[in-house]
Amino acid sequence: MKKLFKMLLLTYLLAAMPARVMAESQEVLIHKIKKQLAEFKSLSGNFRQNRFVKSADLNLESKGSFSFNLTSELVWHQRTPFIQDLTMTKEAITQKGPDGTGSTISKEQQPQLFGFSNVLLSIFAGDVKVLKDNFEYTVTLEKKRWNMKLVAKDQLFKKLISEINVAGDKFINSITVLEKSGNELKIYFSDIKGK
Amino acid sequence: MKKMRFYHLWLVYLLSIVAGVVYLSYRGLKIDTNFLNILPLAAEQNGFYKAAAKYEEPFADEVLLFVSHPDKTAAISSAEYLAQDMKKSPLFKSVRYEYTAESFEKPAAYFFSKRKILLTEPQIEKIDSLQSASWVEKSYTSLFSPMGAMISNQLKTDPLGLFQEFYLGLNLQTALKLDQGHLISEKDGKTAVFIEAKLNKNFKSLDSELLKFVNEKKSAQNKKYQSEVQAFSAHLFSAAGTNKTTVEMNLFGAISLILILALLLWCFASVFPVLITFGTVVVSALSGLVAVGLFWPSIHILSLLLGISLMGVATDYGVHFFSQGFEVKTKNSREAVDRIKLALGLGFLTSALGYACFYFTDLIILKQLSVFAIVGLFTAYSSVLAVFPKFKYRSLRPSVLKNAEKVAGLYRNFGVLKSWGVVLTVCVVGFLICGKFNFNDDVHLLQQVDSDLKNDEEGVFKFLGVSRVPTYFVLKSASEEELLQLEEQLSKKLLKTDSIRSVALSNWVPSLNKQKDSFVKYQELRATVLNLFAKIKLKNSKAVTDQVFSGSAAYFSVQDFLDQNFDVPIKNNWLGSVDGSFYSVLNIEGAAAYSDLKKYESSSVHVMNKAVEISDYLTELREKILGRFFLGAVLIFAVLIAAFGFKKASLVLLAPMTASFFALLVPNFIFGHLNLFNILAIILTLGIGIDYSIFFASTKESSVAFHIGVLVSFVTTLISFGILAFSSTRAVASFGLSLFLGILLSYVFSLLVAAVHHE
Repeated sequence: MKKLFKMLLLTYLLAAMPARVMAESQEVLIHKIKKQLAEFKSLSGNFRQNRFVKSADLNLESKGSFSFNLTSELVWHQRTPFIQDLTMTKEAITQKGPDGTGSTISKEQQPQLFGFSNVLLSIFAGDVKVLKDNFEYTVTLEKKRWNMKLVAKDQLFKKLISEINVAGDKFINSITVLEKSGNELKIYFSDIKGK
Repeated sequence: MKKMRFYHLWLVYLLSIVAGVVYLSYRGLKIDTNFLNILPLAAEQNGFYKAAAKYEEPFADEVLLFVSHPDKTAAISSAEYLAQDMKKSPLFKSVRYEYTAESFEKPAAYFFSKRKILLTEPQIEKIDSLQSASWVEKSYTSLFSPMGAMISNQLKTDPLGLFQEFYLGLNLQTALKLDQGHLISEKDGKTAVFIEAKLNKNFKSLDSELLKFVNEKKSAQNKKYQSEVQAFSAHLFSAAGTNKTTVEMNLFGAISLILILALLLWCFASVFPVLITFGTVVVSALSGLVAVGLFWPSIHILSLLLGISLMGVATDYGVHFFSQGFEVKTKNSREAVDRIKLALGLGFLTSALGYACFYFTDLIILKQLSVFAIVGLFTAYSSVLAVFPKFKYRSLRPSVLKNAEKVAGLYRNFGVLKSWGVVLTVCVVGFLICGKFNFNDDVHLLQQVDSDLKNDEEGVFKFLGVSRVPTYFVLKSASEEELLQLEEQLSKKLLKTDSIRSVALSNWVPSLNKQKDSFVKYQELRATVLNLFAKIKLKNSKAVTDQVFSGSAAYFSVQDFLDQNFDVPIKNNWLGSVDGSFYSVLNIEGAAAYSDLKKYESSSVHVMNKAVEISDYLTELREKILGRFFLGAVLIFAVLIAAFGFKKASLVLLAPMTASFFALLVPNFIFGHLNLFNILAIILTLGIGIDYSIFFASTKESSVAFHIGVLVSFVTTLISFGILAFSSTRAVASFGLSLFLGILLSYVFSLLVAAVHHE
């Protein structure tokens, strides 16, 4: 009986180990990525954004530059097909058109929009806590290159987004957002400089 | 022989009272405790009140609870445990603590499908004011924003982003959000889980058992989970109020009864006078009740309490009769009755005249009080004349006689009393010139609200994220469509004030007229949408545009909406048909003074705020009662002049009138203001206090028996009413304090009357 109990215990421990090791390694990996991303207080570079709207079979491409600092401000300088500046912080989103006129949206006005801008800010800042609160994550790391797959836990994101894939090494290289509707948003970053 | 006939007549009268009691027991006499029912409602207002009652009914049997804890998991576990306990309890008809996303999504999807006919005023203004080109430009640029996912999703449903805030604007629920199958609220670092329950109205002693249950669960949850439970229900306040009042009244009742019994036993050294005295009170009160019961199907609690209080005067009749035993040495009962019948008769006549004035008002409680008082006092007086001569005196305690002599001797020093009179007269004149009475009839000041329950209530509504505005509009119209239009017109007017926002069903289910306007306005956007699609170079723009504007208007009615049976609070605002008219409620959000809202009243719009309306009514009632008080005093004066002549009548009336004045002056000075209950107290002061002066004025010479009678009457009244001044309920305390002062000073001033009269 004692022998049987020992065997059962051993079987349980062996069965449980991979899951525990895996969970631990995911935790370790995401913190490694966080460390990598948080190395620089500010980032700047160029972006190319492709949006595919499935229902209208429409491809929309835009290009420009971006800058980000650790005080959580992401500035999106779109240059083509038209000039548009977008400044995102945790409190507000400010949009300025080609003529310099713009508008500010607060969190209270459009909470849904803020949900997504907050995710973008968290990815850039490597804010693991916000990501973990809202998404299930799977991380792979090979040498310095990493991939992070985020699947929404939050009810609001769940309805809109299938998954978010983020790829990077020293910096973030690309972000892909797959929407439930079949729409797709791909953002590629290049010429990134960190300070 | 004549006297015998009168006695038999009285027996017939007594039998008729008994028959009346039996009849009322059979028919039933409802005691009306609803304060709103004292409002003199015009026929056209009745519908509004019935509709308001219908609106408030579902909330009346509801309990709202929040279980909070700094840790979300602990809060949920604690709430689930409590909800299970509640489900097992027979106190609740239903308990709800688990929710699905469906209950939120279904109404949202229903309304979104009708968005083209639900354009709001700001949306219509936006369509009218925005230039097509700038709107196209804005929508176009949004598509390129990294956050443009929302817009791109809506290209085929809402390409201009007109309905972007549609769900947010629906505002169908409170600040609660769905999390792990529960509705939770996060405030002050705590997670609070919501539980909603419907009470089982048929449960016996529901209020007190509910309060007991909630208090037990509060401590049990705290012990097991260290969580905090906050509960809100009107039944809890009612139970706490009743508990406190019952304890207080039992205590006061017991103390005054013991003191009065002890005093009567000590004075008359026998149980017999005590029994007769209390027996007279009971018969008088029953006769008053029967009289009211024959005129009205129900008696208001205020009329009943005041009427029974007034019957306390019947105690005095017995006391005066038995006090004659100090002087009627032959123990001749008839002689005793003969000695007091003039004074008692005058006392009865003046009181009856005074209370008759109350009958000629449009206020039902005053009419009831008038009938109760006149019939009750007549019974007491006729009992003295018909029955008391049949009684025999017992021997009296010598020590009482000795003390009575001392008391009677007090007034003989009338010189001193006269000086007091001068001083008091100077004081009264001084106060009349300088003093000013302030009245505050706010009903909230009259009652004591349990502070723990009040804190709980604030906590519950903080977690719900709802500000409680007790004022709302009740709207009336001949048809559903007209009612919706009326809601829309009023909402539009209120919107212009900036500070007042309104919530009505028409915000979600507009009138057919508005739905039609909305649909036409939406179709005007076709050209703008086509421009946007051209700008983004959409390949199949015509087909997509057709899809955007396809489909019929699918107009819908209130009934269509109600048939969906959505779990949304706004459906309670639609009251449907009441007395052949249609009614609905329009709620107010934001700071709005009752007087400002009153400006919007008309024959089809009524502003409802029970507390303010009762307070306003109390003011009206107070003014009317005060008016009748003076009218009553004039009539009493006329009777007194006939009995005593002008000079003595003035003196007799001045005693309770001056006492009444001081009975108002002192509480006004202490509390800064007076209320209706102070005025009710001076009514009794006049009714009871004048008897003391009449007694002294109707005796030819100083009599120990009369002094003893008045003194014992005075002390028993002072004990029974004075003790009320210690009540924690402000209304009762005001009543008690004014009556204590009124009775005390009436007695003191009556000694002055005796002094002057016997001079």
